[in-house]
Amino acid sequence: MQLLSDIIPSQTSKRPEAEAVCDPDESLTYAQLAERVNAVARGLHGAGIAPGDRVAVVMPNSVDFIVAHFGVLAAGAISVPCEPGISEANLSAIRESCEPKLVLRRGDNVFKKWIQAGSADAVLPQRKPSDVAALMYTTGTTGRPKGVMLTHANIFAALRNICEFVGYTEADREVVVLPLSHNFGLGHIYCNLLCGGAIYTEPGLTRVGRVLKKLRDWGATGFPGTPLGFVMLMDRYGDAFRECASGLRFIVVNSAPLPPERAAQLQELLPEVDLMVYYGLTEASRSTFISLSREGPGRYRSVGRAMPEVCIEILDTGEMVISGPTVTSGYWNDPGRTAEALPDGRLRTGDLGQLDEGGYLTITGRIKDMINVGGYKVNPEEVERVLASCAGVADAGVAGDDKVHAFVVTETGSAFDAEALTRHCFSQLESYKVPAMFHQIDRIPRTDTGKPRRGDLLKRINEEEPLC
Amino acid sequence: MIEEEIKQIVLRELKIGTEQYSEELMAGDIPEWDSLAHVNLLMAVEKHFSIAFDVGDAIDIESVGDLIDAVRHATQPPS
Repeated sequence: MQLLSDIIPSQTSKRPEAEAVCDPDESLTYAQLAERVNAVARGLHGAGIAPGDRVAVVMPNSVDFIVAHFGVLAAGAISVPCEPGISEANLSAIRESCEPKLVLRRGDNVFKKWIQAGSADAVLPQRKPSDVAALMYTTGTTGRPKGVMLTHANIFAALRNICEFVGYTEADREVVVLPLSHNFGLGHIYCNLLCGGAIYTEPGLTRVGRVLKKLRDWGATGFPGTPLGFVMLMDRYGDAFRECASGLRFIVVNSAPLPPERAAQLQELLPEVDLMVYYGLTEASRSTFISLSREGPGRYRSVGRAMPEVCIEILDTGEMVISGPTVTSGYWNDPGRTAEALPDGRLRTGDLGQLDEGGYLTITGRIKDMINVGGYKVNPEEVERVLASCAGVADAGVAGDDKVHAFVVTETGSAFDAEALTRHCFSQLESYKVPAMFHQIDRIPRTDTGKPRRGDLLKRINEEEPLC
Repeated sequence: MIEEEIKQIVLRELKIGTEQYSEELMAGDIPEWDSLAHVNLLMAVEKHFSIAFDVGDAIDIESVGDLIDAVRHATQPPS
């Protein structure tokens, strides 16, 4: 199998009556899923969509999203998954970038009609593994969105590695609440269906009670999520989370670093669960993988070893570059930024990393976040870890231009002791890394994936009076 | 009155207008009511009424109406 559009037909021939996908409103077997996917492909074909045309899928996590995405692939077109809440400005930028011939939205009459009509016959367009299957637009905080081109071959190279590492089987039943417009969530859909398992999906953890009960009552075996999500589940719903998630076989965590103490807490709460993390970018999906459960606490800071055929090198600057079959060939219709990111075919990640003798990778920061203090480079993440380990500190963020500024959230909300914090930092950091200024803040602004919004913190530097 | 107090907390925590408010409003119905806002909302209600929801009750709170019922349950004097 070399094309994503072959996944559902292949499983349908093996297990037509097995449950394939479900959401809070409906459940489909593989045969039913194939019929709907074929119907959408037929509909797209009839609407003049030809192989290689782009079709945007703007839908929340749902069976409809999966049907639409695979329908686009089955028509031989390129799927462009977008967040359902995407702003008009961002959607316009994506339209300008890749000129989709159609935008599919949940509830569209035409989409409903196609599905109601059904189709037992596939469209069978001529596609090859090197053709682009999906354009994944990255959520850059500045500038135009970038459409990462992923071919069928890119995606399959990653899927084979993930399925092997995670040990997917047809018995796996996975609850996916990660956004399907991102590679992390969508990757779990591909893997699970590729192995003949079943997927339950809904948008995020907003209806947390429903998600937890689904884990328990549906017999879920897998539950991928973000550190932010698992921290919320542990801190707020600890007992209920443990009771509902104790039957899981695996948890995969990604999108932001999982702090070692949180990994330990999660493993202690769910001792039977295989807890895995990985490092990957949209441009190079799942480059490393590690099972923290199998490797033990000594490796909790690592994101694992390179997957088969993936090559990770560290430049003199500390920046990681990645090459191999999972790496994108570039950004759609954007030769300038493609040349910048892939100057020699290897992906410049912008991430700083360290490889140990065993080949285990540890991410140490972002090259663009480095603060230049009189020629000395300060990694804000290192300072944040030290601040977070200080008694009374609930959260911390660090940003700066030529000085290190620390933003601190205290556990009680009361004023912090800046002298004590400074002493703590001096005891654990080189002197040039110790924050020159401390600012008290109610909460650290973070991205959806839990990373501090350093740009927002920098803006506050000019607006606020520091405490010291 | 519990209903009015909860209304004010919901409006403040979710940063929404009264026209968006109803007792039928559910988590996820509006972009403002996401998973983090949900946790913050529960915490704000707990703080305001000086109560702590049982975890088992908390996972059943999905709407403003559920929230009102949960507060009533938590604040009613023991019989």
